[in-house]
Amino acid sequence: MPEAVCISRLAHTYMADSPLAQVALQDASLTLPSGKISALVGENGAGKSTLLHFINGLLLPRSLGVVQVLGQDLAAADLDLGMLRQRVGLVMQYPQQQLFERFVGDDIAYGPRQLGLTGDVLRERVYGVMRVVGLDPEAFSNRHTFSLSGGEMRRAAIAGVLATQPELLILDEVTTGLDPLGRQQMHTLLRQLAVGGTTVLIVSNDMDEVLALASHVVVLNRGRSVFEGSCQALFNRDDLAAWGLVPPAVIAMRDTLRAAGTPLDDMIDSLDDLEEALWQAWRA
Amino acid sequence: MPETLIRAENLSFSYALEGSESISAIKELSLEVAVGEYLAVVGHNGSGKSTLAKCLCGLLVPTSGSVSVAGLDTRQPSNLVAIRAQVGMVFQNPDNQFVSTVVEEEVAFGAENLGVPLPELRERVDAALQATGLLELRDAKVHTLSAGQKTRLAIADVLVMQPRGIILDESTAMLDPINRLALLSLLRDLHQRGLAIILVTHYMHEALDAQRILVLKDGRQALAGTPREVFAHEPELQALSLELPLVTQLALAFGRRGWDIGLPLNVDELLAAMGEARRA
Ligand SMILES: Nc1ncnc2c1ncn2[C@@H]1O[C@H](COP(=O)(O)OP(=O)(O)OP(=O)(O)O)[C@@H](O)[C@H]1O
Ligand SMILES: [Mg+2]
Repeated sequence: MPEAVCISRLAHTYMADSPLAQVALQDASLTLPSGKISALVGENGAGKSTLLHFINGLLLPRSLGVVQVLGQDLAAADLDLGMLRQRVGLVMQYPQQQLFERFVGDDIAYGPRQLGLTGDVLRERVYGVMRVVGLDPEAFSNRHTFSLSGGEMRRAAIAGVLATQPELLILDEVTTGLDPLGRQQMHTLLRQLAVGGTTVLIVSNDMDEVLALASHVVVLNRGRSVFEGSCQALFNRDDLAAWGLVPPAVIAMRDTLRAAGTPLDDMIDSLDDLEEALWQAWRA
Repeated sequence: MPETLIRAENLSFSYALEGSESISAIKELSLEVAVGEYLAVVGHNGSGKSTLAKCLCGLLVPTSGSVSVAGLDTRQPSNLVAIRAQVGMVFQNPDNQFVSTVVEEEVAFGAENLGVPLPELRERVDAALQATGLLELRDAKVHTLSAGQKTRLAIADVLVMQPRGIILDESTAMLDPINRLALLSLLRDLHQRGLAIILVTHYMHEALDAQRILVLKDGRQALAGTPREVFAHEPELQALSLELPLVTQLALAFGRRGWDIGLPLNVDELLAAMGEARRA
């Protein structure tokens, strides 16, 4: 199946029919290719988190819009939500939204326990994902969940979702709060997962990260999807600011250097490219 | 000698765990922050940045050693109100920090508690809203604000105290790219007006605005100095798993190719350095 997620013309208002009603989505459509890393970007309040909640069934489409996830129509009468959530893992924006067990090890074990894992298999699964996210099992399994530093908490939240080995992995603000090494390790992990067939969707405010990871990007603005395509196509536009976005640092630097008279073409989108082009222009 | 705003002497802080165990988060750290200084604090997850930030404004009291703010010892409970008026803190998720439902009331709250009389209170609230660009939202409900606006509101809460320093713990983290730039520029303005800024961040390019960078590792100072001094320690930074700004990475890559252009920190410096190196 080529598409893991297909959303069309989705709308959502929180607390509809009340004075506190707040429109979060107005007309959002997107298609996520399976086995690839896609990114959802847009300014604060654009509706990104709301859209993610539709993909893992925390919100269900009512009247407006169609949401299909891993071949299932989420408006279907016979929808098995439990099954859907086993296949779709969501790391929420704030780790506090998702961690609830007293000890870190138990929190991470919660998902795989639900899947029926026990004993050594369970422990191996939990310790494995802890190592993957850079939390030493010896040091952290018995730590109180809410005594962790910000970055450690995010690592624990990510580990808990990885432990269920979802087919579709969604990460809201994927590397926020992680140190640079943690960010690099997370990037490597996501690429490996995608190669192994997992579909990955990230929300990120870090355009360098989007450029480094995503092969497909969707821009959400005021509840509407306003762009869908490649990083190349997105980041070479000159109207990004209208969507609350800026180009990645490499591209911003390329454009500044170009404006200052160094000949650099639009294909340059990595530090290596830039290094080579500047070397050619200035040294050779 | 610039006047000192915050002084930490041999500061250690441990969190008590169950039983007799504890986690030592800050170890024998000495630090002075001058009046009007801009300091960035970076370091790996768990290196002690948030703990240090809380110690520097009196939210946490040293396990050993001392911290004083404008000469007031944070170990002395009777000093805390005065300390709070000198240095305020903005958390990564400011939602947990708000106490009122309307923007204007939220900003007034802290100064009201200090007993600021009404006419002055109005002026202070207006000034804080003005500085953070929230004047038009003064009657808005706090819960309807966007993430960027909430961060500004948390800053307004601090400014209304007319402090001499402000500490921000990863405040750009949840902001969209435009709001991140806007926040950094607000901090530069506040610094221009004489406020000391302490910015905790994982992004080296954000630390470039600072006059001094403190790098923490396992609760201790690993490196400290101006951005230029700190970036000159490339191998150590690599070992500390920190990233250099892009321009600096480029310059180092040229160095490896045998073309030494020094350590430019921004594009203008890069162009100047490449031009200079070519002429030489
Ligand atoms: N409330 C707490 N109780 C016990 N230990 C804690 C608590 N908060 C933090 N720690 C521990 O203290 C050490 C320093 O944590 P701190 O939050 O200061 O780090 P940090 O540099 O801010 O990390 P991050 O980049 O992840 O935010 C870590 O080992 C952490 O696990
Ligand atoms: Mg922290």
